[in-house]
Amino acid sequence: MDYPNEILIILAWGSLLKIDKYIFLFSFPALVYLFSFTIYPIVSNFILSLYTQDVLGRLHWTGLGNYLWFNKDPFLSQIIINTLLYMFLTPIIDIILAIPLAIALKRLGSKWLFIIMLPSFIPPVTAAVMWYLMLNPFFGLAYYVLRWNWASSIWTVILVNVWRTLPITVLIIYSGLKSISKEVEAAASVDGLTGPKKFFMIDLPLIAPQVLTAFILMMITGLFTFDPIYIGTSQAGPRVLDNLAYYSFDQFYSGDPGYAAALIVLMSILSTFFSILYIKLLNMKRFVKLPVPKFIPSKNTPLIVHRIILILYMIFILLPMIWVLNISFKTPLEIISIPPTIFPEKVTISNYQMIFNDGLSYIITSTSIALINTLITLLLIAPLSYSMAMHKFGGAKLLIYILYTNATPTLIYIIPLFSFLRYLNVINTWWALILTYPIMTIPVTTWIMYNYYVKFPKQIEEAAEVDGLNRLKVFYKMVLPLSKGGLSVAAIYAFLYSWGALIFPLAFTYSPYNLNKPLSFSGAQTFSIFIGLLMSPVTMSYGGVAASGIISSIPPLILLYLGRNNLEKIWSSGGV
Amino acid sequence: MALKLLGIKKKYGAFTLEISELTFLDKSYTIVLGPSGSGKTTTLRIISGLETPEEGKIILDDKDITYDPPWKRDIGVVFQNYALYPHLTAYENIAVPLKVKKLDNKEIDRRIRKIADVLGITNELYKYPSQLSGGQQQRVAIARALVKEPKVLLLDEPLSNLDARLRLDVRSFLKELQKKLEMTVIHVTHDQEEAMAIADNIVLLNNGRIIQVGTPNEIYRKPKNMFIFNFIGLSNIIPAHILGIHDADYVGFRPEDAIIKKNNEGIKAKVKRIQYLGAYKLIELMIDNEIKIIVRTRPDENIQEEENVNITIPNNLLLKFKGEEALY
Repeated sequence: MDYPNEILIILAWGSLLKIDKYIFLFSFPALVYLFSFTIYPIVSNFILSLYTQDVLGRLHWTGLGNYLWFNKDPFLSQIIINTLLYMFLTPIIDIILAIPLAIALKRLGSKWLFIIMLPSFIPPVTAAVMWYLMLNPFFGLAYYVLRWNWASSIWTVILVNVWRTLPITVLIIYSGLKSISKEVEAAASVDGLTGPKKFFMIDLPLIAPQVLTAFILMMITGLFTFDPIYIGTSQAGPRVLDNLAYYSFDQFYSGDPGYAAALIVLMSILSTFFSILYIKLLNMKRFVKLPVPKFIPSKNTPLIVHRIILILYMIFILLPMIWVLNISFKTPLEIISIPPTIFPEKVTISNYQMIFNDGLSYIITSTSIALINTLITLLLIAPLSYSMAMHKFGGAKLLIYILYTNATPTLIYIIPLFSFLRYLNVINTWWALILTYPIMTIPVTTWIMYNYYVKFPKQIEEAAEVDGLNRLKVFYKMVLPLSKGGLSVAAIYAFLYSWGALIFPLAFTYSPYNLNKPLSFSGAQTFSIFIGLLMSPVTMSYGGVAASGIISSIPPLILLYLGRNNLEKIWSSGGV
Repeated sequence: MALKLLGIKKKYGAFTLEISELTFLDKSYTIVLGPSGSGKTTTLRIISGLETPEEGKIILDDKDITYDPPWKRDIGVVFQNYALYPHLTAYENIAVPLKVKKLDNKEIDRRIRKIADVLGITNELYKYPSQLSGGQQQRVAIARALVKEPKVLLLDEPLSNLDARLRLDVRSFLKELQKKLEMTVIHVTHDQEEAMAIADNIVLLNNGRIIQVGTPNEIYRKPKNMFIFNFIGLSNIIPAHILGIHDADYVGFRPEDAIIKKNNEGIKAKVKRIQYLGAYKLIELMIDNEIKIIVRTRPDENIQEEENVNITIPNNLLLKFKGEEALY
């Protein structure tokens, strides 16, 4: 067969590494992308952290100057306290809340899982605006409960975090509970272990790996809390809610990339440490033993208790969404009436009309980029994950790297990526987002598809090869058409991540899509930015915020509905 | 003084288990035998209390225990995969049922040491299940079931997870244990050889119904119908008229009961294949070129393939069948 020169060179590399040429060709595009968009930014970030930028934008060597400034920065001590609070309280509260719900789900059946999953599907920005609207002490539901300055409280940020991450925590713990063998359950029953005593003596020790996995995962999420702070800051003012993630982004945004880079290096070290912990935990087979005091009863909890628990959680999960739905149909005057009305007195759709007039260009960008990125992601990761699973391509090292990037927030890449995009002259265009979005979606989808292909029958490939198809053809003609199940789960993830993205578009764009010159593809602010803009004290268009929050939830809700029967698989394919 | 099932009914989709009356004799080793899907595991789960029957009663020593939860039943269960708690040591596993009963630690320790001694796992007590061999795990599981001194011990396919060599040892061990502790044991299996080897009594199940109850010898020599005759051991069935019998449709006989003769006595048959099995030979023969039978001979029997021989079967070892049912 004749290949163009470039491919010959790639193949030569492959043969040097003693890898089948087709397998190497398959995996090459995704690997090049993955390595260049992660390793380069990490290294470059470190170098940048040794420089400082002057007012003209020139960089000067400063050595450890940026790091030494940590000591003097007047904001930093409060910021570090906030960071630690977000980082530890989010997973602790998550786990404490998730366990009773997971137990209730196991008793009552998983049909309720669909509703429980809602918060994790809607964009993080939307989740934040929902809570801030509801907790507004004058116009929100909080008027009737507790008129308190919720916006300036870090507890609100933690509350939004918990609300958004609780579903995944529940899903992880629930899947752990479900994986306890039926015979062990029967043995416990014969031995007389039921209710709380059985939970502490048998269940909790056996699901310890899942609980720890969830803890680490939510700790990383907590460490990189961004969206609720972004929305909250527009209400509370600067520096009140900041954590390291938000502060470093702010430093980068306001023109101090060197110091931002130093802060990011600090976070990268933290997140690497936790990623390694997370990877270790995924392979953990050890169980934890707990001392169970005698007073813990061995009595079955009545079903009604589980039902009440489920109802309480449903209220917690649905309330902000219902409140926002209500507001979105209120007239502007009614929205700012005190006391707030529970249901709209006069239903209006003017808020939605406003969004479709003013927000159209944002919606077009978000939808298009999310679809394009989903497609690109699938094209890149399907062959890569296939050769990793079927042909052990890259071995354990590559797999660990995928897991590492999976647990590493993309915030740590933004500064070098920004310079790179500026170099390409594509800042504030669709190309900027198309180029960078895959880095958010490749790790998680590769991991999903890797787990999918590990269970894929190898005979299909062998049979097709015996029939005379080469590996490339085998993959595109036989394997891909049979992978719909896995690819659809991966596609849901890719779309959700792209649709809800905030940090990349905030960093790489500054104006909405230019509808007058559509083919320039310039102007690329996304819908999540639009929601943030509406929420700012300048606009203060709460009706618009509510309506856009609802609109931004519609695509995820459709996906949730389509994937409702695979919810348990979604985690089990992406986890332990 | 025994365990009794009365009018039990339990439905699973299209499958129904129905037992009108079944008594497990006190201090005996009963094997519930049946092909897969016959309802034997369901029977065991109903006895243990893991399932509740829709109708009927379970009576243990004149006490109705139908609706008692499993742990109040005085019944020990050993599961097929042993179901040991993986995070607890052997000692802690065995202690669980006693801890639930809130016995004091001294008494718990005394009982565990006693049962561990009986089962020969004293040296294994501080190991985790993953550090034990399959056979040791099983002994721990048995110890956990026995430590609360139940009246009845249920064993679910206890030999199926062991390798062939260990199986013979374990099955005689189980029987000895039952004798030593003078216990009522109910053992569920699909392996008829295992059942024949150790049971005092066999309960034969098929399609959710009991089809025969009896000693191994009764089941082997006096099966109630053709299914049982074929299910237990090797069997031959030929039309009755071939042997000149006219009060039955078919006759059956065991391979070891037929005698090969080289004279003209009996029915004519042609040797098709010879399987040499060490202790004996199995000879496949054809009668009239259409009915296949198997005969067992001594290993040194002088016989060739394609040879024409004659077969006789002593009349008292013949089983007569009218339709599917055996005639006695």
